[in-house]
Amino acid sequence: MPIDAPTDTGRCSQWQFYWLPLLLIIALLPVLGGCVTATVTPEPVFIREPRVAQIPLVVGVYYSDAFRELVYAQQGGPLIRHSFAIGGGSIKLIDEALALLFKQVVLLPGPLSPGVSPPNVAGVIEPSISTVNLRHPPLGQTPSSGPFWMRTSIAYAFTLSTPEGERLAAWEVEGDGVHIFGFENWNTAVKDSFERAMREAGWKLVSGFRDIPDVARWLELHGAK
Amino acid sequence: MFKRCVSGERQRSKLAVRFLPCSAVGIAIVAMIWFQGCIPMKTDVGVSPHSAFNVSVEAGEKIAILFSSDASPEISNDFGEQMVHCVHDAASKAALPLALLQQQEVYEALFPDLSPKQVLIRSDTLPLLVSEPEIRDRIDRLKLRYLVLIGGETEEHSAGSGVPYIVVGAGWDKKVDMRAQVFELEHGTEVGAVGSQAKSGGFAGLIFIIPMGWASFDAEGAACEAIGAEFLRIIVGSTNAN
Repeated sequence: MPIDAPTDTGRCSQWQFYWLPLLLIIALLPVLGGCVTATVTPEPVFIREPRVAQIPLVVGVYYSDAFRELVYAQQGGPLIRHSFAIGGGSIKLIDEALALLFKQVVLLPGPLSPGVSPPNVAGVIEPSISTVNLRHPPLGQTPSSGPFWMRTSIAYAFTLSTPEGERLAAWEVEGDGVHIFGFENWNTAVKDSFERAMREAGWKLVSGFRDIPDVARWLELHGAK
Repeated sequence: MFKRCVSGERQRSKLAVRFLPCSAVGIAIVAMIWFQGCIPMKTDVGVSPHSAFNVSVEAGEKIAILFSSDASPEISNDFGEQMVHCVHDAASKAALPLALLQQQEVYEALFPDLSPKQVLIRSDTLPLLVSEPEIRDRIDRLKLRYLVLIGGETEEHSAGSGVPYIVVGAGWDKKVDMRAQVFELEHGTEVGAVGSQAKSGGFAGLIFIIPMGWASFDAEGAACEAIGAEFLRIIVGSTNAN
C-alpha cells in the first residue's frame, strides 16, 4: 500500500513557495523603497540669454579623468547611498558655455605635455572641481525655521595656458543652488539643487570671463578684447 | 407581527435615550473646544510704504508680470506662480484699460526658441536683455512697456515644550514678505516697487486635559491678496492720472 510520506522535494517546494519569495521581498525592500539608488547625473541648463559677445579665438579644452569621474556621494544610513555624477553633468555645461564664448572649441584628448602643443589654438582651458557642498536640515527632524530646503554649492577652478603649457591665468567660479522641498523624493531635490548651482556657475563663467585681469591681458595680446 | 413592531419601536426609543446623553456630551466637548478652547485669529497683513512712482501706460501698451526663481530663489515655483495669479486676478477684477501678459506669453513672445530656464531674468540682467537688438525689436512690436517682477521670501518658526501630564504646548509662526518690482523696458531700470507682509501663527496645547489654542492661517494668501490690491491701486491711480 503506497504511503504519501512527506518527502524532501515536498519540503523544498513548500520552502520555495512560502519563504523564498518572502526573503526575496525583504532583500529587495531597500531597492523597492528607493534606498539603494543608482548614480544620478545632474543635467544643468545653460543660460543663453542675456547673450555674451563671442571671442573670435579658437581654444582647446581638456577634461581630466578626475574631473570626468567626480561623483559626490552621500551616505544616508546603512542601506542608503545617494550618488551624483557632478563631473559628468558639468562637461556638457562647460562645453556649451565655451562654445558660446569662443569662435571654436577643440577638445584635447590629453593634458598638455612639454614639446607637444596642440595646433591652431590660442590657449588651453582646463577646468577642475574644487568644492562640492550639500546642506540640508537634519534628517528626521522638522526644521525649526524656514521651509525645508536643500542647498548646494559648486566651485569650479579654471586654468588658462598657452599651447606650450605656460600658465597664464587661474580663477574660480562658484554657483549656489537652493531647492525648496515640495513632495519630491530626495534624489530629485538634490539633483535640482545641484543643477541650479551648476547653472549659476556656468553663467558666471561666461559673464565674468573678460573681467579676469590675466584673461583680459591674454585677449588683448590676441587682439580680441 | 404587530407585537414585534411595538417591541422594535420600544428598543429604538431605549437606544435613543441611551444615545442622546452620549451625543450631547460629544457635541458639548466639540463646542467647548471650538468656541472656548480654540480661538481663530486674524492674519496680520500690511503693505510696505513705497516711494511714489509713476506708471504711464498708453492705449494698446502692455505690462508683463513674471515670477523668476533666479530673482527669488527662496520661493517655491508654486508659490511664485500663485503670486503672479494674485496680481492678475486683481487686475482682471478691476477691468483695467491695459493688457497684462501671462508669464508663458512673455517667454514665448520674447524668447521664442528658449525654455524659461535658459533665460536669466533678474534686476542685474534686465538692462542687458533689453539692449539686445532682437529682444528690443520684440518688445517694441509687442508694445510691452513695463515688466513686473514678483518675488519675496518666507520665514517659518516652530517650537514646542511642556511638563508631561500638566501642560504641553507647541507654537508656530509664518511670515511672508512679498514684493513687486516694476521695471520700465526702455532701459530695463527699476522705476518702483510695492510690497506686502503677512504673518500667521498659532499655539495649541493642553493644560491637564483642557485643550486650548489659537491660530491664524494662510499668510501666503493674505500677502498675495494685499500685494494684488496695492499694485492695482498704483496702476489705476497712474492710468487715471494719464
